[in-house]
Amino acid sequence: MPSQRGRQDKSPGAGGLTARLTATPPRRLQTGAVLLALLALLFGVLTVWQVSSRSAAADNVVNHSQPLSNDAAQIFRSLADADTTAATGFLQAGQETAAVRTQYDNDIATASQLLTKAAAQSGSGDPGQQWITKLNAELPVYAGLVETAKADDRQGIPLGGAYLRYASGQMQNQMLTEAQNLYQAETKRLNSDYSDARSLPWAALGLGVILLVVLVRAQIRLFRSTNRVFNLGMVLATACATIALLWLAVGQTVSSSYLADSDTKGAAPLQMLNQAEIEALKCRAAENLNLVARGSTTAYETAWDADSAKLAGSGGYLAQAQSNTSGDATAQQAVNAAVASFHSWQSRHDTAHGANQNGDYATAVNDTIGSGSGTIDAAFTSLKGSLDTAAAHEQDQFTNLADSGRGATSLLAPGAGGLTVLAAAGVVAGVNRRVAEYR
Amino acid sequence: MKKTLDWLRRPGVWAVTSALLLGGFAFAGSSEAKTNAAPDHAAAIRIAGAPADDTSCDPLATASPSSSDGGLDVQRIIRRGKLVAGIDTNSYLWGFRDPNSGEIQGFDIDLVHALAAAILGDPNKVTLLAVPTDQRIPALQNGLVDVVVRTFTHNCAREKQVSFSADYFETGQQILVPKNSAITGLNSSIKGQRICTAKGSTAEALLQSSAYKSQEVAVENQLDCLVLTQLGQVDATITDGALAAGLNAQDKSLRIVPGTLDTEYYAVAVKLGSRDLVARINSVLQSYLAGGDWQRSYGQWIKPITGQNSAPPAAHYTG
Repeated sequence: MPSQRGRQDKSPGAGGLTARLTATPPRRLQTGAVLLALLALLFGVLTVWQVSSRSAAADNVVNHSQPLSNDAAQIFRSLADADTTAATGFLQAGQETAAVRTQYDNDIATASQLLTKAAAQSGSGDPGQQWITKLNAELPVYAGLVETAKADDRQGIPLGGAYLRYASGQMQNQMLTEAQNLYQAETKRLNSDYSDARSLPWAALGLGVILLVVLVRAQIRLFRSTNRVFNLGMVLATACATIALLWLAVGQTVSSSYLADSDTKGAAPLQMLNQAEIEALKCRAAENLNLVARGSTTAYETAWDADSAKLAGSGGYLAQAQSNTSGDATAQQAVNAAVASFHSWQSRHDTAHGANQNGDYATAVNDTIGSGSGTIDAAFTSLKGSLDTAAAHEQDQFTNLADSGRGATSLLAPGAGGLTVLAAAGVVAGVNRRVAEYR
Repeated sequence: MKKTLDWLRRPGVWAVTSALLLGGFAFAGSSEAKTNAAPDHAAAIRIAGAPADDTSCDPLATASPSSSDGGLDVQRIIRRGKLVAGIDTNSYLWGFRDPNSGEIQGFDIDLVHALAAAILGDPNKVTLLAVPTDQRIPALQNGLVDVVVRTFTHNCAREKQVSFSADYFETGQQILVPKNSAITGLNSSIKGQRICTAKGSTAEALLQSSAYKSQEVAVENQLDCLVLTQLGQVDATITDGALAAGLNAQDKSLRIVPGTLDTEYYAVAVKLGSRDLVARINSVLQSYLAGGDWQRSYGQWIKPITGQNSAPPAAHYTG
């Protein structure tokens, strides 16, 4: 309509423009068609924009925030495990086994690698960055303290034990707190990405409903003024808009529901299992350090009582993991096995603690760090194994459900965009046919 | 295909879709994953006042020696066939576990074996229980141990809670510093310095009552002071001279400032009122000294570090 536009430009004012655009019935029709087509295109643009931003958030959940949150949990676990293993190696004194030495070295290496990776993946404004920097600086200092402790111990002087307790104090009071903060920062981001990805695109949906209502009303008016029931272009436009709106509604709801499930059936139980494992490691460290302290303090037995209650008390992490996985037989079985392992651990702990209280230090040490099927170490290893099995299962659940969630909207943005362009074209084409009838 | 059908069965799909088409809106609530707060490990730092010493008693006074095994408390040990002793396993030279052999040894441990040899006829009929510093008195009160032989200072405040044998060692608070330190005593040279003491110890009370303002660092165990010294976090440690010697033995780059800040005596502690056991222990101590065992043990553990001769103070026997 180039001639029309030329006239518009020459019009002296807005009032005149409106008058010209609505001067005759064909003009009114044409103006209405243009507005309707614009509305359809606006719906398309809004849909593409809102769907894309949700897809981007869902991509962030899968590729960025969930792996980062899991890495942060792994950093925490490696550090806690290093502390536990250092105490075991120390108690083995001159007879530290290669397996224990390797496990400790691996823990330090894993923590160090993951910290480097996390530092690379998070920007300078990232809330987790400060904790990563601190942990990176403290890790070598901690490792140095542990080596000093072992060297002193090999010299046969009690100072080694004091060094190890100091190192462990740094780990438990400072580094693990920072690792926990890092984990919480990453988990907070995961939750925020989740809610971005799961929020329904209300603006697009609302505009879609308005578009449909206007389209239907326009056709009723056309029918009244022309007495023709169907206008092919308008019918096509209505069909396209309806499909686009339905696709948007269903696609986003499905996606949101899958993502919700990937949280409740994957990410959330996984977080609980991570917490449980970390708490189990703390219990084990307290148990070992109680022996390292050689009766110089009762603090570690108190720590065992507190940590084991957090792990296995009513409402503890294991109980929460049990209720989190109640709908999932595989995970539930693993968590139940972990609970059973804890019960054996607790009773063996009590036996070892009793021996220590009676002055039988050698038996207590042997019960605590010795290997064999009936030992504390066996119960602890089996507890950890069960938690790892459950965690791997939850990680799979998360990945599958989150991928389904992302898949549900993969073609939505281009599809809905194309449909709204078709709808706009339909409106213009349909109205032009009616306008032609005036000539 | 199955996937498509699966979609249609997702909860909420139909609800939201139909609600939309009716022009209404359904609200999908979001659930947030629960995270747990960091378990709080930061231990509260509490500075407990050291037992205020008073001069209301004579710390050298004790029951007269008796070699009789007839007393109730001595009989309980004989019937059990074991002497249960509360000891330390972290005081180098006094009571410590050799990490390599696993054996507990030291000056205090030698005395425990001598007690068992005299009362039970076998130096190895002992159960050694590691007792934390703040559990020494409760362990006796609860009957967990028969005796505490653990660099335990005999003072008047404690005499109200437990009974003491004749004193077997004389010591005094001393200051342990790096070799190049400018600290010369509890005087203006400690101003602003970081001084480490064990919580609840005599040293802590001494430091707190000092006229010279220093930065006090209180730790669980005097051994922790050595760690902090090596890490450069404290400038000096105040502890019993005997324990300072043990710390010095583990790190030759330190030195003990000459002179003691007070005079203290170590004694064997038993449950309050166990007069028969105190008398029996005093008799053992008498022969331990007379037979040269005391000097032999001192020569093995303490003298190589202090380089000084020593002897226990003469006891004031009371009836």
